[in-house]
Amino acid sequence: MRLPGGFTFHKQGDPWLSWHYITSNSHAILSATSTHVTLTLESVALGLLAAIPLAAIARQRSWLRSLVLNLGTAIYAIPSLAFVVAMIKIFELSSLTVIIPLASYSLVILVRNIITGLDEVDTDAVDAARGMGMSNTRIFATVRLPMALPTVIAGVRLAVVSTIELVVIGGYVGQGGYGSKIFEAFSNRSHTELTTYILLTVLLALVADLILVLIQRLVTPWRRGLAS
Amino acid sequence: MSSNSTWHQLTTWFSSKSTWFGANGAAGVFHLLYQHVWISALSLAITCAIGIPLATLLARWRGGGLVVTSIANAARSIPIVGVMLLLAIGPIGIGTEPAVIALVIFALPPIVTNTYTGIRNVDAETSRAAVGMGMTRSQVLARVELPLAIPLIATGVRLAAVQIWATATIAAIIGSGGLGQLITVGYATQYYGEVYGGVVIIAVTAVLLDAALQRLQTVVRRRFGAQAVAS
Repeated sequence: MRLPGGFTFHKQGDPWLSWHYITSNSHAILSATSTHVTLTLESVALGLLAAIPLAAIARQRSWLRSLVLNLGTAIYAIPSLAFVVAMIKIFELSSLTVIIPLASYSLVILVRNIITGLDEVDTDAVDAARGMGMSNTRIFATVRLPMALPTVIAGVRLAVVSTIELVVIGGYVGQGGYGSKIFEAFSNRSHTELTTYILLTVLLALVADLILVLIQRLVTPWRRGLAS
Repeated sequence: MSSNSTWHQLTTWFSSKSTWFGANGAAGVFHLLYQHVWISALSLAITCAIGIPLATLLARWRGGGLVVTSIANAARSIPIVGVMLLLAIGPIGIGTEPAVIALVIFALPPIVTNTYTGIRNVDAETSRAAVGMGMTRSQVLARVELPLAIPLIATGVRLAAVQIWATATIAAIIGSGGLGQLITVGYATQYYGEVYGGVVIIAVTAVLLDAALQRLQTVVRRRFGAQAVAS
């Protein structure tokens, strides 16, 4: 990526939008979509994997809770461009350069939501489980976590939608799915390509959010009919 | 290149005088910091000037809530980098203007949502009492509803400010200058001393700004009374 040399006038045959562009580049679009989806899923999954134990630990002591939450605020304040470029020396130009920063941002969102979700769990249900002789680990896995699920999934929705948007910055280091195309279009000054991939990013975020709403309804059947 | 030499580059970069004050026409950290502050302050001022009156209008209108949610959802899924690059190859060209436009667009949601919620949260009884005392609708807004909404408006301004400061980094890609230029120039020239120096300076200033604004917000909330916080 270099800074552009200067002004060029709007090229002929380069409209802001073109259906022809989409049909004639369907292969490139599909391949970029698959990369973008993979990067998003890997980042959020990694974030979630780390967030669950971290949230469980943070709830044990109040100082741990404030430590985790404050550290999260600090991580979230680091600009994505800085975070991604900082990873280059460590992970070279592999996809981890993008995944690690995005997983960290997801982690922050998810830890907050999981802590809130666990806090809201009805203490009567936990007492009942304890009365039935369940161990703490078992209570966490079979009572607390499922009851916190609506709040956790709300966090996952937020993490997925913002990660889809953030993956684009990965294009700066050539690891961004739609982002790589967006930066390529910027270098070539191609309006059609740029607008197409911006709209695709928005569309992907909308579709992902819709799918997660459906999943939310499937895994929390007892909440059906309530406002989500 | 070994990590040792990156560390060496970093220490050299930090201890060099030209890093801070610039040399041979290249901008130093202090000049870039000045640019960063200027772009951020300008964007925040414009966002407040548009966002607060807009939210006030929407709060008085029935369908306002839907508009506010739509603005917030749309802005969350539109890639800001894409919009900046799009503006830069459009008629405006590269530089500060497209950066400020993009920063304002994306900083509107926190300010609009919080101002809207702040005004809407004011107890209807309170507003009615003010009307009963003979205040006009605009007087109720200016003397009762807006002052009561200040804690939430402050939350919105803080979130917008932190977001603008962080996102202004990306604007360096389209030639707006600012601290992000340390990263773009360092990356383009493969000088990792500058890249990591930039990352450290950007991350530290972002975290400090966030912490300072949270302090300030606590003061504001104490002064104007606490309310439910929506972030």
